[in-house]
Amino acid sequence: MEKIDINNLDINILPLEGELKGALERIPIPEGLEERLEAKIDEWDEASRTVAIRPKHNAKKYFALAASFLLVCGIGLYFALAPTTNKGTTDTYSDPQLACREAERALNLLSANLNKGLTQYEQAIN
Amino acid sequence: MNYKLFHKFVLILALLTTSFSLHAQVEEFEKYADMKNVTYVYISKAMLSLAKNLTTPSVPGMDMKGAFTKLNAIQIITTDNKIARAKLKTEVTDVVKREKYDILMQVDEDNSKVKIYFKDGKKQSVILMSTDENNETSVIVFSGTFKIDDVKKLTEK
Repeated sequence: MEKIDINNLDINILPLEGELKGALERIPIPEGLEERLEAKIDEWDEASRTVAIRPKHNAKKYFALAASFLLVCGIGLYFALAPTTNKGTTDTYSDPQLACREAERALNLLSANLNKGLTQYEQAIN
Repeated sequence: MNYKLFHKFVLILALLTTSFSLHAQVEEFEKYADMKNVTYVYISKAMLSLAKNLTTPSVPGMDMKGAFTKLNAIQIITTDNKIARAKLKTEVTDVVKREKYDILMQVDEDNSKVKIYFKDGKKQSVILMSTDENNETSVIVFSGTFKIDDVKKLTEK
């Protein structure tokens, strides 16, 4: 295959270049294009700088810290609020007299049932 | 360093859990306090100690004051709701099985069934009495530092 030496190519591109330049010069430049371009370049520059400045923190570390903080707060709140929200361990009666009557009623019921059972047992064995 | 901190955290959590699990009452029945159509009564040790001076001996031979002193808590759960009754009965069956309660007495009559269970615990003993009559189920849980002999005293006439 024949090799082509670029340096020996006899192509005169100068007149073409001049023509292109002339054509480009004839295109009217919109007003304020330079300012707008500059503003845009500044904007890009600013954006790239912001990205560049942003510190490369270890996201995992901060996430873990935040998670453990929330966990501790959650547990703390749970235990702090538990006694007030747990009705199961809150005294039903604030009046000792009423509490006394109810406790007596419960114990009497237990005693009566125990006696009933014993009587039945005694009757059965006699 | 982080591991040490983590270990400390786990230890504190474990201690907190242990201390909160040492309830004076039977925990399984606490949830009935918030349940609809269920009456839940809780009498604490503090209230019982206040109430013991107000007791009047209604049953001859029964040492009501002594019983009050030995009790840590009384829980009374009553319901006439069909669903709640079924749930309560299952709960009793589960608790006595899991916590290895001994059945002390069972009285079956035409329209009533009474079961009395006893658990002699190292830290606290429990008497659980479940009554099922007509359309009502009630469970009374006595927790305290009593022995089987103290229960026998309740039967003396």
